[in-house]
Amino acid sequence: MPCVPPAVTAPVELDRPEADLASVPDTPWVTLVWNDPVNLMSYVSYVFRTHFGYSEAKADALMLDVHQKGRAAVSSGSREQMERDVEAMHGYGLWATLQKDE
Amino acid sequence: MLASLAREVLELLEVPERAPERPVDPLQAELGLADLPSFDGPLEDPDLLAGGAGPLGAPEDEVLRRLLPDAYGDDPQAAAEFRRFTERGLRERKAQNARGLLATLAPVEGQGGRVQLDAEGARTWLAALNDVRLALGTRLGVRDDVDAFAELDEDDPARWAWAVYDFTTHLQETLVRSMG
Repeated sequence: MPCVPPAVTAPVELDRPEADLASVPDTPWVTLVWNDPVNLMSYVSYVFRTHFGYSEAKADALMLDVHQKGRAAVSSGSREQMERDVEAMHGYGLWATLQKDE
Repeated sequence: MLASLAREVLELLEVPERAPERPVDPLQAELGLADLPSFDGPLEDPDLLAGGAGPLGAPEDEVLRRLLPDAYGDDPQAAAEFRRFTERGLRERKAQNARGLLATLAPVEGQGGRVQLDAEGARTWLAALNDVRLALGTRLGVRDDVDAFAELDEDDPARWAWAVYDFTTHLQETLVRSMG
């Protein structure tokens, strides 16, 4: 029986699933923050700066999206990351949900 | 007044040992709005499970539903699962914020005076104030497009609640701006 060194074949085998994964978008889940009539615009922007570390300009732009369009995707990543973000948003009192990126 | 509002929120958030019978919502009683029919309804979710796991269903009370919203808008099963693992902790963190606000208010409560907050205290206040405003705003049915206060009669008891809501709004706005 020919003996094939594992070092030769193993990388080939391992590459395949990685190649498959690469066809899936990197960030298939998003955290959405929804407009509500109670939360102050200044507070929503403060939450985006504080929790996500966004610049004032980015936080303000997202806040305005929430206010004017009714919702905004404020972060994207794995489902687990988005669940953590949503839980944090609920802690701040923002109305947030997560879903697969459309 | 702010302290009593924070206490009402705290009371709403406490995880009950068993579903309590509460004939009157403490928040609406505080606001003198006990007679309004729209405030009827049980305060706590009857699905609370024993043994450390959280509830599966969203709270029936509209204020609790706003304070502890569903994490999945279009997937009730995922929302229930998420709630089971996170709601208890979220309630505890919110209760902790309310207690933090109460602790800093305690020295001046009833007599007025100056409250000085460090950065951590200000963060706690912002979150606790926001929960108070969500509770009040939900009970009052605050909407973006309607100035409900302007439509109230002079002697409507809800005017007081709206004045309180406006005060908490102003307080939070001032605080958030002071944090840069």
